[in-house]
Amino acid sequence: MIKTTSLTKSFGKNIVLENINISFEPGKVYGIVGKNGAGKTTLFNCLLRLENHSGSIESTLGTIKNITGYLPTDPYFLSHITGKEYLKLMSNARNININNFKERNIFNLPLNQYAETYSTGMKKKLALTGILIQKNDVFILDEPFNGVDIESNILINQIIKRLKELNKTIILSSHIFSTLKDNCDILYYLENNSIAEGIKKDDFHIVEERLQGKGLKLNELDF
Amino acid sequence: MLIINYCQIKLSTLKTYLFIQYKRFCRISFEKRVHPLFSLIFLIFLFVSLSSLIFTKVKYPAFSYSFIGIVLMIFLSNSKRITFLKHSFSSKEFYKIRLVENGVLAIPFISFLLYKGQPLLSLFVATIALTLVIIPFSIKSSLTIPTPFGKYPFEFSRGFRRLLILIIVTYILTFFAIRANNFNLSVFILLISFLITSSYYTFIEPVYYIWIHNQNSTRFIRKKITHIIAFTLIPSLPILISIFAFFPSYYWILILGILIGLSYTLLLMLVKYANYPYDVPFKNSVIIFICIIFPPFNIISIPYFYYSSIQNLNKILYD
Repeated sequence: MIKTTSLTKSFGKNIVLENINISFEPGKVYGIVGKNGAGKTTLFNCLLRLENHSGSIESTLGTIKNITGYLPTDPYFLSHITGKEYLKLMSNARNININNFKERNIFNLPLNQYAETYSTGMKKKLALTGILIQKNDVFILDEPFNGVDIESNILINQIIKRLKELNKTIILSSHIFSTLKDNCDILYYLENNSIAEGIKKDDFHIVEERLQGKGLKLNELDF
Repeated sequence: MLIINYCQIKLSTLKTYLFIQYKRFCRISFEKRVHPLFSLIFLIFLFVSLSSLIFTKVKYPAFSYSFIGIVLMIFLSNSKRITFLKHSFSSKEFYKIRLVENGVLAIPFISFLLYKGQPLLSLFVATIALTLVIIPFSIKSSLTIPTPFGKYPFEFSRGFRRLLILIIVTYILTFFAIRANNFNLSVFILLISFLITSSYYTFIEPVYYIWIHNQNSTRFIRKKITHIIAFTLIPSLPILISIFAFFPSYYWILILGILIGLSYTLLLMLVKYANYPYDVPFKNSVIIFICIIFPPFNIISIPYFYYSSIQNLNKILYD
């Protein structure tokens, strides 16, 4: 289990996360929801210790860095590196020896092409394949459905379900609420820099209504 | 320093663009904790020193010097930058900007060539500078260049592909050096090829590419050292074999050259991680410069940066 206690993060005087007390258990899918700029990615970075923070994060599964696969919103690929070499880099990083990448290429990506030439969706799929081959126990997926085609969306849903069956801990964020509804067991709603409590499946509609907001009066705007 | 709020002053597009470049230069300089004026003085000093060095140590100095200038201009006309400028500015402004950029880069080379009594070559460099304004040089291919480093990405595979042209140029220059029976020049080219390999480690990768490793910083750095020892010689192998074949009696100088080459690559890798994720500060750039000019200094600098890099990476590669 991963548990945060009084996790607080601020950039200068600007508090982004305040007194976050949440936990993640194996075999469950957690959704982090919040409006743009609510601090979802900052929360992920804190969990991964990519950002300094106050409060504590405990893990009974081992050092979080060594057991977690992180899919960033906008994966960055080095220039002049092929898809296969990227996967090799990811497996080398965890001392996993893979000889046949064809079998692991679940999205049928052109692995011999430079990854920088991939489309947005293909880049996301390559990054996801990279963390899957690492055999992680925890998966943090920041907007995994962004930019990918319908077929791959279905495949990602299936992957999440399979990871759940394998007793992995999955934490994901998405602005497409239906994907959260379909996949998550518990939602954490990040509002005003904090998370009140975990919301169970039966109450997801409350979060959805709160996220919809009031909208804009477009007839008053001059473009 | 006089700070001008350029947003409040109506400037022409070209002036605004140049002013932004000036501000970028100042910011980068301040990040390295050096006043921009001193950075400028240092750059001028470096340019004049290196130019003089080429004209005293290299056999065909004027040609080599012109070649370096042209390569730099080619790098400046890389396709992504050109596309950005084309999308952002009107054609007229685009050509004005490119003319000024290439001019700024070409004028020092042209001036030095004129000072060394090479009016024809200076005219040639000027012509190339103008041509590159009109026809940007871009090598963009979907072809994946095979490398022998694929099993251990990323520095060597990436660097080899990016700088392949320069590597080929060193092979050609070695051919001419050997044909002229010039051992000193061929060893100088060998050291240049090692410097090209070392530059693979000047790229600062995003933190993600370090964070993914399930090893502590000591093991991470040691793995990088193993890769350097295993691969540094490979891009320079054709040069090494050729020199050894034609000047076998000087094998001990070649061994010394190999050790120097390895030390360059190790040094640049360690300095990068000692300052990661920031750019190499000015102080360390000076140390690198001294170590390149006087390699025995690496005996002290490599262990020093080895320990600093391990210490610095502890915050990312915690256990």
